[in-house]
Amino acid sequence: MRFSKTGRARFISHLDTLSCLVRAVRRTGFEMAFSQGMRPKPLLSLAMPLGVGVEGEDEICDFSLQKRAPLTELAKKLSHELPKGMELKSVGPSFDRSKSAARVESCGYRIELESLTPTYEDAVDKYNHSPEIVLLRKRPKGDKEVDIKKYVDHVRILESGNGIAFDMEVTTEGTARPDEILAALSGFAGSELAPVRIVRTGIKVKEEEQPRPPRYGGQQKRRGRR
Amino acid sequence: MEKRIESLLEGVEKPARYIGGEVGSIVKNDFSQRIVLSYPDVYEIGTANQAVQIIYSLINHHSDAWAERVYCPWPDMSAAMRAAGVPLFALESWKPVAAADLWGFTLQHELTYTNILEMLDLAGVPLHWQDRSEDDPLVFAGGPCASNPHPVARFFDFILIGDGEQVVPEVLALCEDGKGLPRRELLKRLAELEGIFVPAFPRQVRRAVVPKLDYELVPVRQVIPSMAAVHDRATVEIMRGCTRGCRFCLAGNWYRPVRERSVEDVCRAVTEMVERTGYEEASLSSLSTTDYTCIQEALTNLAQSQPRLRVSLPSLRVDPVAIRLLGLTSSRRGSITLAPEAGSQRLRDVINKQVSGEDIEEALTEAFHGGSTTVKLYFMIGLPTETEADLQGIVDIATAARRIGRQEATSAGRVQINVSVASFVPKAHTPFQWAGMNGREELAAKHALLRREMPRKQIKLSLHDIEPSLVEGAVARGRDETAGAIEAAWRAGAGFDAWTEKFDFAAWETGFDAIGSTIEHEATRSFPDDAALPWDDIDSRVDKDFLLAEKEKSERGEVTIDCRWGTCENCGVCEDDIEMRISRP
Repeated sequence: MRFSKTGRARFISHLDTLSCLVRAVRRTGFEMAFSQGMRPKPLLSLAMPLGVGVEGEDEICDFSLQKRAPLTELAKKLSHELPKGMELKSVGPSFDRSKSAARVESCGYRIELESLTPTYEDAVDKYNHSPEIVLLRKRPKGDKEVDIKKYVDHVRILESGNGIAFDMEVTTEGTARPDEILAALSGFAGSELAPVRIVRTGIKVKEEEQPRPPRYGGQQKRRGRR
Repeated sequence: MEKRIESLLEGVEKPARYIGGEVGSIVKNDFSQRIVLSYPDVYEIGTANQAVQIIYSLINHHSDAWAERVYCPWPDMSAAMRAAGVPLFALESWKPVAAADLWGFTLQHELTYTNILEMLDLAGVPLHWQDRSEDDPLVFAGGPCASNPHPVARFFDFILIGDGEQVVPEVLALCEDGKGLPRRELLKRLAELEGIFVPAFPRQVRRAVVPKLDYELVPVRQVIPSMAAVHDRATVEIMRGCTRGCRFCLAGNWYRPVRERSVEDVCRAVTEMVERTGYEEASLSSLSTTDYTCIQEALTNLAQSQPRLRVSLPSLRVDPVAIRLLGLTSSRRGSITLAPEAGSQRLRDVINKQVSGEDIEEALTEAFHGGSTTVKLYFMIGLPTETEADLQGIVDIATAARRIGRQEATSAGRVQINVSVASFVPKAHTPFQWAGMNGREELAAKHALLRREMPRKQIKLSLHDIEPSLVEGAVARGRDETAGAIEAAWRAGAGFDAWTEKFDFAAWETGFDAIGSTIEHEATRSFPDDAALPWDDIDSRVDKDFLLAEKEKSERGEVTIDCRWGTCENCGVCEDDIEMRISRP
C-alpha cells in the first residue's frame, strides 16, 4: 500500500505508525498473514522509517494477507481506518520476493525554510561544489564520522524560492538524515536554517529482476525474531 | 492557534500525545453542547481509562452533544504552552477547553489531584467554583474518589456520585433545557438530581446506581490511541461491583451490588470491539473477574469463536480453580499475579480476605504446573491490628512459593517470586474508614523487617514508597479544608504525584503546612466510632451501621461471607430494581 502521512500525523513515531497500520488492516476484516515461530507477528513492514516531525507524501507499506482480497473493497475499507493526517493512496498486489525495505535505492526530500537569508543560495552552491562533507554523528558507543556527500550529491532550490529539495541515496552502508543536510547548509550559510516543513516526497525502490506470482498465507521460510 | 500548537509540538517529547485525530475519535459539526472529558494524567495513561471511554461514547453516540478529550500535558509541554501563551486545548478540535460548556474529570486516585489544578490553570479557568464567571465551563468530576468529594469540592461546580451512565444523561438534559439561565440557577437545579453533589448547595446526596449494565453503552467503537498506551487492548467490563467484602477495599464497598452482564452480551461485546478496534488482546475486566458466574462459558465461547485473540483476566482470585481457568485462554502464562494481601490467616480474617493457606499453596502449585515460572505476590502492610508475626507470614508465603516453584515448575532454576508490598490506606465508605494508617516510622520499621527477613535468592522484594502513600492517606479521608493543602502543594510545585520521579514530598509538606496541619497527622488520625465524618453527607447506600458492624467483626477476627453464596448481611444497598444481577448459563 502507498499512503501519505502529513500534518498532525507527522508526530506519530515509526513504531506507532506500524501498529496503526496493523490495526487498520485488521479492522478491514481481511485476515493478516503471520510470521512463523514462537511469537507470530503480523507480516507488515514499512519501506523506510520516517522521523518524528517529518511528513511523507508517498510512503510504502508491505503487508501480507491470508487470502487474496478484492482490491477495491480492501482500499475502500482501509481508507476509513487511518488516523487523521494519514491517507491511503493506493493498494496493489506485490510480485516481489523481498520486502521493499531491502530494496530502497533513494528517497526525495523537500524542506521549506522559515527565514531565507541571502546567504543560503551561496550555501547551496558551496554544498554542491564540495567534494566531501564530513559530519560527526554522536553515538552512545562512540562518535562516527560520515561523509554525507556520498548520499546527497546535489541540493536544488525550490522554484518558489522558499526552500530546498534533494535526492538522498540509500545504500547498504547507510544513508544520511535530512537534518544533517540542513546542518551542513547552516554551516555554509553561517546561520541556522530553520525548517518550516520537512517532507519526504517519495521512496524509490529497485525493481526485482525475477518477480514471482503473489503468494498468500504467510512466509514459508522462517525468519529470525525481529 | 493551530499553527502555534504545531510549532510547540516540534519541540516536545512524544508530540503524538497532543495530536488527537485517532481512529474512533469523534468530530461533530452540529452539536447542542460541547463537553470536554479528562483523565488528569498524561495521554498514554489516560487513554486506557474506561470511565472516560464509556462517557465519551455515551455522549457522542447517544446524544446531540459533542464530547472531546484532554489529558494532562507533560511538564515540557505545559512549560512550552505557558511560554507561548497557548491555553489548554481539546484533542479533537484543538480549540480552547475554556470555551466548552462542561468539563469533566474522572477521580481515580488522590495522586492525580494536583494535575487537575494544573489543567484548570493551563486552560485559564479559575480554580475555585466561586470565582468562575458565566462564560466559564461548568467543571465537574466523577469516579470512585468522588465517594469523598470534600477534599476537591472547592474546585468543582458539581460532582457526580455513583454510576456515570445513570447521571450524565440527566445532566445533559438539564443543561440543555437550562441554556441561558444564570450559572447559579443551573447549579441549584442540578443539586435537585439524585447523585449530584453541588458545593454551592450542599445537602445529603445519595449515590446513583445503574440497575443493569446496558449493552448499548459498551464503548465498542473505542478511541484507539495513535501512540502506545499503557493498556493497549480492548477492555470489556463484564461485571460491576464485588461482594467479597474485603474490608479495606473502596471499590468493593462502593460499587455494590454485583451486576453481571449476560454471557451472550460479553461474547458479543468482545467480538464487536475486537473487530472494530483491531486489537489483538481483550481484557475481561471487573473487580474480581473469576467470580463472574459464567466465566468458564465465556472463555470457552471466545476461544472457539476467536482462536487468535489473546484474552486476559485481571484480578485473579487466589484459588486453584481460578488459575485453571487461565488454561482456557490462549494467553501465554509466563507470569501470574496473586494477591493474598496479608501474611497470616488471622490478619486475612481481620480484613475479610477469605483465602486460606491451603488456597494459596494449591493456587501456586496449579500456576507452576500450568507452565508459569514467575509469580507475583501482592501484599499490604500497615493493616489494622498487624503484628510482627503477620509480617513474618509474608516472608513465609514467599518462601513457600519459591519451594513450590522449585518442586513443580518445569525449570526449577528459572523460578522467580516477585513480592510487591503496598501500604494500607484507609478509604471513606469502607469498614476501615475510622482507622488511622501507620505513620512514616512504623512503616519504615516494617520495611526494614521485611528487607531483613526476606530471602534474596529467586525472590525479589519491592516495597512501595512510604511518602506517596502518606499523602494519599492524608487526602483520601480529607475534609473541605484539605483542598487548601492540595492547592498549596500544587503551587509549591507538586504535579504528576503518581510518577516516582516527579513526586515531591516537600511540596506536599508545604501544602499541609498552609492549612496548619501535617501529612502525618491527617493520615494517621483515627475517628471515634460515633464521630461525625466529613463524608457523612454522601450516602453510598451501604448503611453506616453495616460498616460499623463489619469493623467490630474485624476486631474479633470474624469473617463475613459473600452474600452471593451466603446469607444477606443487610448492607442496605438493595432496593427496588437495584439488586444483585447474576448471569445465567
